[in-house]
Amino acid sequence: MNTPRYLLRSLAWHGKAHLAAGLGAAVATAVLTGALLTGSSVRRSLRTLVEQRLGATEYVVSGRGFFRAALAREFSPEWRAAPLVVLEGSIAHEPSGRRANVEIYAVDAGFYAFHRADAVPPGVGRALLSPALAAELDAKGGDAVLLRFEEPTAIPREFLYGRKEDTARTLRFTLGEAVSPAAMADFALRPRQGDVRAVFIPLDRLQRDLKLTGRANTLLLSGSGSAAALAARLRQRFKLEDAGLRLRSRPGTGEIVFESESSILDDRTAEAALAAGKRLGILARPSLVYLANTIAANGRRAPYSLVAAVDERTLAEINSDRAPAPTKGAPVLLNEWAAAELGVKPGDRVTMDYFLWSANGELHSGKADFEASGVVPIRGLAADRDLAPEYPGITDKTSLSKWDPPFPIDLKRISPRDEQYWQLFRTTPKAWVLLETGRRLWGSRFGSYTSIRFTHGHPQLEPLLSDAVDPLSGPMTLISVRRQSLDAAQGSTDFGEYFLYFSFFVIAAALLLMALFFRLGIEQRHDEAALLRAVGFTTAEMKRLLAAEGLVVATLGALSGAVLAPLYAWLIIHGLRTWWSGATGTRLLSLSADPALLVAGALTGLAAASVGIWQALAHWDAWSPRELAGTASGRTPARWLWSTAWATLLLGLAMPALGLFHLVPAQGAFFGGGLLLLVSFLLRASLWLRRHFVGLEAIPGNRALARLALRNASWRPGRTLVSLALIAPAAFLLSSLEAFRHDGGGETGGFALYAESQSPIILDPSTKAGAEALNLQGLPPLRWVRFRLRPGDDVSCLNLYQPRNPRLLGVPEQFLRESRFRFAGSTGQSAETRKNPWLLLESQQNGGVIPAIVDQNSLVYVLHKRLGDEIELPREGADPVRLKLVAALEGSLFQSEILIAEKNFTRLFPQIAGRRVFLIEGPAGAAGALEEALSPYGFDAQDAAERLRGYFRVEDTYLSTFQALGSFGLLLGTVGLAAVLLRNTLERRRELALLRAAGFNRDALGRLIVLETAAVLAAGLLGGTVCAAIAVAPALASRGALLPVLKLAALAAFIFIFGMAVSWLAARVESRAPLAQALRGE
Amino acid sequence: MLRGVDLTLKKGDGIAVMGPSGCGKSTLLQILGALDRPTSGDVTLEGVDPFTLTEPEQARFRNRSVGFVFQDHCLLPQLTVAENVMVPLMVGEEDTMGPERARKLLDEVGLGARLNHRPAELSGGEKQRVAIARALVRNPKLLLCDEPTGNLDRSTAEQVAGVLERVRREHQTMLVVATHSVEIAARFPRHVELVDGLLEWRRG
Repeated sequence: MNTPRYLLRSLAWHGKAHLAAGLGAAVATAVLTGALLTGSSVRRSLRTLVEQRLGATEYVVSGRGFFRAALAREFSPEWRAAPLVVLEGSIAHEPSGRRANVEIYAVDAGFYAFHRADAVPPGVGRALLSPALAAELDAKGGDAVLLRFEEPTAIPREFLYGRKEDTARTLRFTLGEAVSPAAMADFALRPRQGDVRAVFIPLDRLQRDLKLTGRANTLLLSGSGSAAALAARLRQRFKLEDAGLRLRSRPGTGEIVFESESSILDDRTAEAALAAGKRLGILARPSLVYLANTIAANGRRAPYSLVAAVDERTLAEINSDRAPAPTKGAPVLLNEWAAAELGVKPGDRVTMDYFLWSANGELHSGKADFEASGVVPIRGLAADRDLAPEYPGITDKTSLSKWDPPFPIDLKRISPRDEQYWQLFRTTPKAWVLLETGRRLWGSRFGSYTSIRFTHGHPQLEPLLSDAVDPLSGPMTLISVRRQSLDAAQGSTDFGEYFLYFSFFVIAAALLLMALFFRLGIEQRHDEAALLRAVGFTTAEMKRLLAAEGLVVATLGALSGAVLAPLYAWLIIHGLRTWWSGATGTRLLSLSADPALLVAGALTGLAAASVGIWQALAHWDAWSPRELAGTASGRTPARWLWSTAWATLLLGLAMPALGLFHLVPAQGAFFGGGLLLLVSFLLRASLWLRRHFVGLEAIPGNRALARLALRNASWRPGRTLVSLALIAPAAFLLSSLEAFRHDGGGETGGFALYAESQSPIILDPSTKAGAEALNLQGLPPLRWVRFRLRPGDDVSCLNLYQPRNPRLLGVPEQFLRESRFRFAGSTGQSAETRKNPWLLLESQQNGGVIPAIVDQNSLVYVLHKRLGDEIELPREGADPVRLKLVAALEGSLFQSEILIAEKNFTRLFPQIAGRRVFLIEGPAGAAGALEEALSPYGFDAQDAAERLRGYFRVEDTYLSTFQALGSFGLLLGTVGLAAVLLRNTLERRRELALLRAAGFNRDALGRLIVLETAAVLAAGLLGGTVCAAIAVAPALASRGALLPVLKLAALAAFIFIFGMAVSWLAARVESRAPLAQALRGE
Repeated sequence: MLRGVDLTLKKGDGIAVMGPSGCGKSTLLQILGALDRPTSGDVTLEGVDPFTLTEPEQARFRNRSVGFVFQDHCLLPQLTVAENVMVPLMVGEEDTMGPERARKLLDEVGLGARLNHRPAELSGGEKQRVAIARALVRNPKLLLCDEPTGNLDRSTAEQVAGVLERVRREHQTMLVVATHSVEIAARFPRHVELVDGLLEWRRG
């Protein structure tokens, strides 16, 4: 006989008793490991989606404008590349009338060859849809569709000369046959877990229609070289035309003109060109040409005249190498035509009126005064009609009366003399001012030069300019899209962690049950313990034997749990795809069982179960032989229990109070306060059970039975306490979760609609002119707040991917002062910014950091930041900027984006024109009419309250998940209570038989057992619910909500009824035991 | 419960302790076997006072020097007859002759042919004889029997009592038997009775 044999014998003999403990360990391990597998499966699914949708793509080069498609051939042999055009737009399916916003990919055969996909590009006039889009539109091959998108334009729309109306382009296609994801039909460059809505059209067709032959705006690349090497190659092969820049020789002059197809040179590029000229010793003449609506002097006016701003030297040369006469004001040279028209001589005051396009989307007039410093003949430099850039609708017209500019002109002002000038001199400037004056008056965020003239060419000029213009500092962006997307697939929400939290109670309940059943098993073997002690086993040796048994049980349980874990994880993944899809927004999740996680989970489950075993044996050494042989008499509770019970109660009450007055965060108040209150409740229950002596009554009736039931509940205080420990926390959890539900409500800020357009809307729809131009007359009065949008990754809980490049909104200045929406917190120090944290967006921050506002949910659960933290925001073609999170909105409409002041937005992203996000005050019923009127812009208006509900649905789904698992935990707790009850009944069989022999009938004994259960259940439910009510008070108060009493009462009633049903079964078990047999031996 | 108990035993002594239920017979045996501690007084077995030892030393003391036989035998149901007897050999000093001695003891008590049987397959008397063999496997100096025949019928009780007496003579073990049976007590040379906590000699 040796220890291993003793162990095996004991395990086999007590197998049934150990089975329950083993099951407890198995459940705990299965749930714990399953949670880990869930997290890993979600991450794996997100990665798989990225890899499927990116195909072979590792890097993307995207242009602010269009570059040579042939650039794709410049990267071999290290990289393969495919050019395409990527646009955002909308699709209308003609047969069904359904519409959707889509990504448009104009591709050729090279796209499919790049991905090594066995597919052919869309045929002539054909479009192909992604499968999800086809299903959504109910589209099939042969159907007609209209694609609408913003027509690309080189001239910035918010530049005076940029087109602001009728900016959409519509193309009609016939659908090809359905294509599968294997044929890259689900291609997407931005990671998202939802369905892909993509349309593939022929590249050459789009190029032709947009007059962009041989051009593309995106390159896909794949290869073995690093991103740095790729960037170096791009810089090497880059040409000026790839950035929309060109060097043009002027015939007959030898001059080389450096200009942009956007008609404006940004300051950095212009200064680089000037530096290049200086380096090569070439004289360079920078200029800015602008249209003056009126040049007036001496009571006369000349309408619609071009004015050129040039440097001093050029001005002097125009003035026949004479420096302009000194003037008090800003000097202006007029050509002889203008001087004659206006009767101007040197020294006369000359006034110019001109249009400026404001950031608000309104046309303003500006005025500047000059002093005539000379009159020049129209010859030489002064006769340069080529100085003005090409403005479609203006410079390409043969007469002034045929002008079609993107701003209003009064044709009645044009005289025959003016037309004559146009016929003779066309775009020759009528006036010349100093460059710095012109830049000051007419410079914009897009630039303050229209061209630079080099007096002669040089073989090194173009190479030097190409080198000076860094393609990756503006015109183009290189993104390691695969690496970034795979990093983003780590997810903003760690589902493994979340499900561990959600399942925490189930795990704890299972472990408690395991320890309880193990302990019950040990207690059953008191005779064995007495014998071992009598034959000379030390307490330590006995404990080791039992611990070894427990360890074997725990190991078998943990292994079983590891085997069951994939099933549990599959169930959760299935839930996330179906019942809980509100939390994920996708059906595209699948289970992947990582063996390493199974092992880790099994080991963790084993460790946790071992702790439970250790706990079950913890006080065993204090048992005397009498205690081992008989019932456990109560021990005097330690003094520290009393003080701890008081301390936890006081602290537990203090936490919610502190949360109510916002002295601690509401979440901390809830969790901290709730936990302390529960601990206090259990400690007090423990003390009551051990100390309180319920006096019995000798008067027959239910009261006597009730007192006897209470006495019996304290017979085994440890068991009763375990039952309470299983039920009270579960009741606490379920009650408090119910209180956090969003049953409607939320802060819409008073706005009825939240709208977004695919194409930017430049004009202000709240002005008369804007409403007319946008076809909004006839609609009820609406108030618009318009936001600039930099598209990016959704920062709400709706996005499972980690946002690497967040969506950004520019908030207009006027809105900052309206103090709309509630804030959860801010870094504001002054009374003003505390009252209205929006004002913090205008504050100056140290180190050039930009202040930003974000919704509290995004801050905590997606960005994982706190107020005052900084985040880095990448920018296309520029250095990243740092944003400082200065305030957090509470339950707002802005959960998908980060907000900065519009002033900062236009400075950081000067190329982004117009507004694409709108908050609208007015009747919600106007949504349909607005969408119809603004359909060329892909306008989508959503009820603001419904948008909020979409966000809350995520939260509520998580709460439902938590509740479902909490309910499972409560079920385990009730099973535990049932086990304790049945065990007590069996152990007390002799006692109960004695009661029957003494005259208690079966009914009375049944009531006794039921009352015992009712006492424990009621205490547990009441204790847990009261603790929850106190803990959630701050959160409810801050939302102005009340505790959902009816729902909680229904939940408690259900649990109570279930527990009573179990106790009724126990009562029946007892009542069937033969009386005499039970009494034998007494 | 016990007052003024003075008792001295020599090797081979056999003493029956009688008294009504609750008089302290089991308490006396538990004190003698260092399973319970007296409020005053001491116990010495071959010069060793077990109550001056630490708990592990006490356990070793019991393992080495004391054998217990309980009223309800306390056989472990999951072990065979032979394994039950060898339980004391699982702790304390290694005894290579232990297993052989266990078999011999079972032969002595007439159960040599039931080595691999489980307790559930034995009669009450047979179980008690296994318990006696277990109590003797370490050659204890003192054998304490608490109502060893209390649950047995008369003839089986006589059998068990006979075994005890033979063991005392052959192994020269000090034997203390608590019993309320006069017939059983008569088989032992010395006989005391506990009355109101005091030990009164009836014979020897």
